[in-house]
Amino acid sequence: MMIEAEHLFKRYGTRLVVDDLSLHVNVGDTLGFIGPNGAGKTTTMKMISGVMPPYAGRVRIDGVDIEAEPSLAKARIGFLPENAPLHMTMTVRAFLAYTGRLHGFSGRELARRVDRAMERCALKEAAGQEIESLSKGYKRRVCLAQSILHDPKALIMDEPTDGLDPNQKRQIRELILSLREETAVIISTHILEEVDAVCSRVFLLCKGKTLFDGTKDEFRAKADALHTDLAGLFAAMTEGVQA
Amino acid sequence: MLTIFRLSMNACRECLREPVFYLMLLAALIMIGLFPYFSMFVFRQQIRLVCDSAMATTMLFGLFAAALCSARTISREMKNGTVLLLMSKPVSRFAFVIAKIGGILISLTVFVLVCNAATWLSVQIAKDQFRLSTPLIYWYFGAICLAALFGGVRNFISQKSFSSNAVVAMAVLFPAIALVTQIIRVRTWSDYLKADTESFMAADVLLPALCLLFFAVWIMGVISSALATRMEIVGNLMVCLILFLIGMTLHYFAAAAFGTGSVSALLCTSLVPNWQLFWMADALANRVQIPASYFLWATAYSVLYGVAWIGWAFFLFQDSELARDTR
Repeated sequence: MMIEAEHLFKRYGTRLVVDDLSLHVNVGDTLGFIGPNGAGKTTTMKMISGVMPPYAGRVRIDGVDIEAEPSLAKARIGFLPENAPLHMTMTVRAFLAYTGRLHGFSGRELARRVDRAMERCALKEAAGQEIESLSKGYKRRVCLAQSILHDPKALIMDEPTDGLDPNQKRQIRELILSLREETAVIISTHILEEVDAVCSRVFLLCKGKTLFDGTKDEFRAKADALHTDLAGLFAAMTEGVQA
Repeated sequence: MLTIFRLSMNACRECLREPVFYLMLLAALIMIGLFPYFSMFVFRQQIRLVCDSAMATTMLFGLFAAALCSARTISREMKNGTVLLLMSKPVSRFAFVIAKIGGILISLTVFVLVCNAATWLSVQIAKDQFRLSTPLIYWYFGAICLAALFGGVRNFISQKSFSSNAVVAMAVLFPAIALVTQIIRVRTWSDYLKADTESFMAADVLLPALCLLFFAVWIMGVISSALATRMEIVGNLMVCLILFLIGMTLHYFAAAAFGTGSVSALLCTSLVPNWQLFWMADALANRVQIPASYFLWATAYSVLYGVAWIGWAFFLFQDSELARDTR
């Protein structure tokens, strides 16, 4: 199993935002991590990517415990945070080289990986441009490029297509589909259309609690049984919890 | 170690790229360059006035630069979420804190180095109370213009940051001019140790006093970096200013309240840095050479104080909620 999260809990003060969450993702799987706003998706993404320690529970990436051996585990993770935060004053190439160096690459190997990541994310023509001057879609692609530069075994993406135009969404989705051959992918989103387009599994979270964990077909079958679409099922399952 | 070095260099570059860093350095240099004019006709006290004013400018502007650098490189990184990118790489929180503080201290070193070289030149410009060294004035303000020109050309031709290039040019030009003028001066002044104190400040008297300013600004850099893990720029600057004002006066009030050398006074003054340790204006006024033992003691004090605040910075960052606004 590439990504294993077991019995994760997270508190902000007295508020429990993630409540006994467990999930497993294998290579070839693309897990759609869905839920309404405030469900705990981003917090879970941060815990799985090692950015934030859980209050309780454990995360293993490719069998490596992220708390016991953070550097080893993080070397296997590619993380695309929400809103694609970047160093705006750097050029695309300089930024990718900087993140590559943090993974320990240098010299020709670094240059090769930067070129490859730019090629995969269609960034070649913007290589010398300052990130600040790029469009939102390009910025998202730069952030995606830094997350795949080191060929991660686990790719964790938080709202990867949020705010993009239809063409940019399609490009990002095609890229995600091309990555899942050799990578375990988790996509946190509240866009159900995205789940339908790229995910093989669905994980529904609401108020920190797991409401559904299964294949996309099982999720769709559940919707069919209730004579509704995916959005209808999503509403039916989450509104009860939120109330 | 290599990761820390790379992060430090990046943090330093970020600081130098900030237009406000260049503007603050420019303002400090213009002020230091103008002090010889303000201190004319002052009854043989012009060097003392120039030294006092220039050192105070370096210390105060260094404090502002420290707060701004830390806010820009730490607070902003936490606010806009780029810290998430770094933390998802094989970078520990400890490495992040150390690297950021390292980068900020490097940029503050550049700041103080340029200001100190400018102070050295300014002292030499104030030849006596009735006249200034005109060629040196041209060199001084020429260096500022040349640095701006270099930054502008680099920006226009290669789209490189104007601020960082102009600051780097200043960091090369000012110490170089100071060094050249000092060599010329010592060669032409055969017995400078017996020279008139009105028109000559010996390097071995002034340089240790200027070096102590590095420690003061470094300590402020570490403090503001620790605060930046929890505070935005305004709050950070306010706390730094308060610590500066308290640190300048606390040892006096503590001694008055608890008695000199008492444990209570010692505890009280240990809480905030004693900036007076780094303020050698009185020694300079009397042309007293700062003993090596004092210099070493000030170094040890700075190291201990810096380490304590780095510990605080790590403690504050360890439990901080990263990228609050992106959630």
